[in-house]
Amino acid sequence: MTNGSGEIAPILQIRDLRTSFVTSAGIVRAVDGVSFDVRPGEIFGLVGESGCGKSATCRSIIRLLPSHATTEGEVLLNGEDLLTAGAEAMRQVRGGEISMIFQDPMSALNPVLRVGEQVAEAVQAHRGVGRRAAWARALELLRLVGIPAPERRLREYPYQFSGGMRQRVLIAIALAGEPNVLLADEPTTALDVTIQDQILKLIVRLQRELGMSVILVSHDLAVIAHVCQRVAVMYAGQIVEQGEVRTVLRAPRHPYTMGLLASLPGIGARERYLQPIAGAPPSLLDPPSGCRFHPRCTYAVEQCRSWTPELLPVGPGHGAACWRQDAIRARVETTRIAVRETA
Amino acid sequence: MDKLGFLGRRLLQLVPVAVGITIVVFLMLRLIPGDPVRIILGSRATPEAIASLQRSLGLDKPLWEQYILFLGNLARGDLGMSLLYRQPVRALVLERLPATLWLVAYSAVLAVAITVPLAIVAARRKDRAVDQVIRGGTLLTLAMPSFWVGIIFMMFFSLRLDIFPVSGLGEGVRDRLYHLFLPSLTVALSLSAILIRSLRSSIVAVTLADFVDTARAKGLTERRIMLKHILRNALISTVTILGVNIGFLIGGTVVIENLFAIPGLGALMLSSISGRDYPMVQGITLVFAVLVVAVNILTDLTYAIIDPRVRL
Amino acid sequence: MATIQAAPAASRATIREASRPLWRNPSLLMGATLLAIVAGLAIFAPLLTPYGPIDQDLLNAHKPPSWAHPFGTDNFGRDVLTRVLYGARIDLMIGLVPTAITFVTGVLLGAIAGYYGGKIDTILMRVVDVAVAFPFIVLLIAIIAMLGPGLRNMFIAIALVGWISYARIVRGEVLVARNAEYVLAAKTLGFGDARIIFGHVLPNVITPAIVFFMSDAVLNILLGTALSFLGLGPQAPTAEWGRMIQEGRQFIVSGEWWMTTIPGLAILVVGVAFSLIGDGLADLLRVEERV
Repeated sequence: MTNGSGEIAPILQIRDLRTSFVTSAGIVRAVDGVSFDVRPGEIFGLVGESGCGKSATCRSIIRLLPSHATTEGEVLLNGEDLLTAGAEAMRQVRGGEISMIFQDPMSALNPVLRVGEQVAEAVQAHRGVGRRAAWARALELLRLVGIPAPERRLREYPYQFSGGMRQRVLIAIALAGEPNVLLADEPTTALDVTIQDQILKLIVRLQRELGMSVILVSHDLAVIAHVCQRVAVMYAGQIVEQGEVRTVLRAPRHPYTMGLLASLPGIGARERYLQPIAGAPPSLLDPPSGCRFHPRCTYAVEQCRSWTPELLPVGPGHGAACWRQDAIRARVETTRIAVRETA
Repeated sequence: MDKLGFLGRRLLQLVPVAVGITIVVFLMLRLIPGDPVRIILGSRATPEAIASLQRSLGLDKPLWEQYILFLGNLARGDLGMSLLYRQPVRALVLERLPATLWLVAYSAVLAVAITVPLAIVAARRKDRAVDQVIRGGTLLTLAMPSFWVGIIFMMFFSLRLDIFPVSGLGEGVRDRLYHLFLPSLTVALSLSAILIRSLRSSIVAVTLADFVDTARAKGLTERRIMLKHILRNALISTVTILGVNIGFLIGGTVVIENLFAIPGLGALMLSSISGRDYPMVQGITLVFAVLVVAVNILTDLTYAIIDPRVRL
Repeated sequence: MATIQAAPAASRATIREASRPLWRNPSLLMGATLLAIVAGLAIFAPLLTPYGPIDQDLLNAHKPPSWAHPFGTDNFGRDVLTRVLYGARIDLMIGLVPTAITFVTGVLLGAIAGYYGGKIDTILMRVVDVAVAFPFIVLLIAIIAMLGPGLRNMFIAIALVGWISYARIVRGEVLVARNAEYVLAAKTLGFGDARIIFGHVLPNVITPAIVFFMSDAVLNILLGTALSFLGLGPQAPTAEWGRMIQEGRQFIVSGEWWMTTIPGLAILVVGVAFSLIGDGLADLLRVEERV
């Protein structure tokens, strides 16, 4: 349904993003040549195993990285490169244009400040309003994210909130500056299963009501399948497959995506049995040569060991970085036939 | 409500400590080798004088009875009679107490004023030149005797530059702050050397906390992130360190009062020693302990104010 | 792969760090060298100076630094350099003797309290609570006030109170260690308590106390010289740095800075030496310093 919106100018363009950390063990290339666009009003999914560079990608976008990190490439917000923006310009972007919510709501709030204070200061950071007005706005925001008894809750401290409620507070903080883009870094991972669904629904509802774009980072394809329009699959610091969620999930063109799907109870049932991907993600200190997935890939051939595949179109708005397209297409066909026959 | 309960429990915990303090002060007299009465009065004292002093010190009764008497007197605020001044110890102590309190409070304020900016700079420039210099400075300061630092200050600021007085207390608040500046700075320096190390490392630790990312993602200025988010959390552990070092702070005033001729408790204590005024020494020791305990409660309160989670 | 190997790899690293050559530990090296120099000067003082520490020469009193008297002379014409050198003998003792005494008693008491727990522990902790309610130096002054001034009584006073820090540190460590497997194993083997405490528990928990030893030595030399400055330490005419500063203090008004500045610098040097050794030891033994 969003196929036609391809012509609309993207709000955020990531171009050949490379982020590396200098550590005592060597240089860790956490993000290694990542490019994607985020369109206005869409939820864009970023999926992959932990440590594949999803979070680092998000943090690179608003430059929230430790000092031993270096970032190259371009992050264009409405055409302006954020990576070369000055400190004050960047401060205004953070929370004002692009907000971010984090994985662990238990530690993402300051334990010694009242919740209202933490929301209100986010309001004040982007609007020239007084303390009183900022607190009034904070109250509205708490109401907006569905926190019961917001008048009382404003005056409480984070330790008095449950995990789900804290994540709501963090979302309220993120919305305080009325941003156009929300980066949600595993926003439900640390929460109970029942709460996860509430928070996801809240994010989807707010995205619709406020017309924001959202980048939703998750290791869980089911979550992505549930709420995103488009998705990029990351592996070892690179995007290996990207496209409409429906297309990517129905007809994956990268063995890693296929592996992720196979290890998923709901969708992977088509494959009859749960199949975790063999092996562990590679070290980003010294990634494998050629295609980074080849040591774990059942399709790998000699070519995969020596040559790095690029993200090439495999269908409308669909790209994959894999040399073995013929073999994969054949395999997908046989699976489809098998599914049809059993049905 | 919680905070009141916290304070109440804290006060209750102090009961055994208070009893212990009185026992220590009471038993101090027993450390005197030989007969204290003979030492006080000298070898030529008449038996009548000895007996009378024994009675007035309460030494003619069994030990436990003496302690009960001592406690009873304490309860009435009676610290005994000074042998040297022939006046109640309480009156003399109360007269000297304000000077010491001034010095303690002023030193604490100066120590914080020195500590906070230096710790922030050192933490923000971690492992860079500034940090190394501050680190080296704290190492040196911790190895300097405070009385010597005081003398160097006197030589430089009072005698060479003539901008601060060499001694005395001054009249009125302004004059007092002026007179007590050098002594307080001297006491504050060694304390801040300890505090800088502690605050620097907790700032470094807190800077890595997730909520700092949240604060930055909100678009707050670095200044606000440091002062409102990082510092406030980092101070929690430093207040604990301050609590541990209160004895150090208060003890430091004793030496410095003697150096700068400030008529406080420490100066009185020293003059009482040379006069063998044992009841006075006992009384002052007791007051110092009370002071430490009181300031400890104050730090606990500060702690409870800074950290909303305190409900122990 | 890395996770499986983590445990043995970590312990190997610790051993390698611990046996790291001395020159890789600049703090320890510098501190030890500094201390050795001071000790050497103290021992060989008679060979290094033609004067005696208490030899008066009233004709040459109040002399500023010169070739004959590099650090000047005091109000009795005594050579300040000579007195500083001889003073090192006493001041190194002030730094080390009470510290060693309190180290032994504190570690023992802390180990006993932590190991046996129960009443012994409760009583000890009560004593500690009471003792820390007094400013350390006030308690020392009060004790010396009763015992009378002098170096020996100063040591007694510090010995009476200074064990507390060690007892606290060691008790805390022993509380943790007494349920450790090696202790339980020793118990099952039927070892006596003394053997378990000295042979098994203490070697495992003593590191923080050793690291604290050096900061405590700094503390004691500062306290000792302060007491001495207050007239409660060694009496005249003994050459001791705190006392020298006390005696020279009245002459700063006439600009005779050397009588006070030089002995103070000597204290500073020894203090820095102890601190550096402490930092080096902490690094060497990989222990966080506790306050």
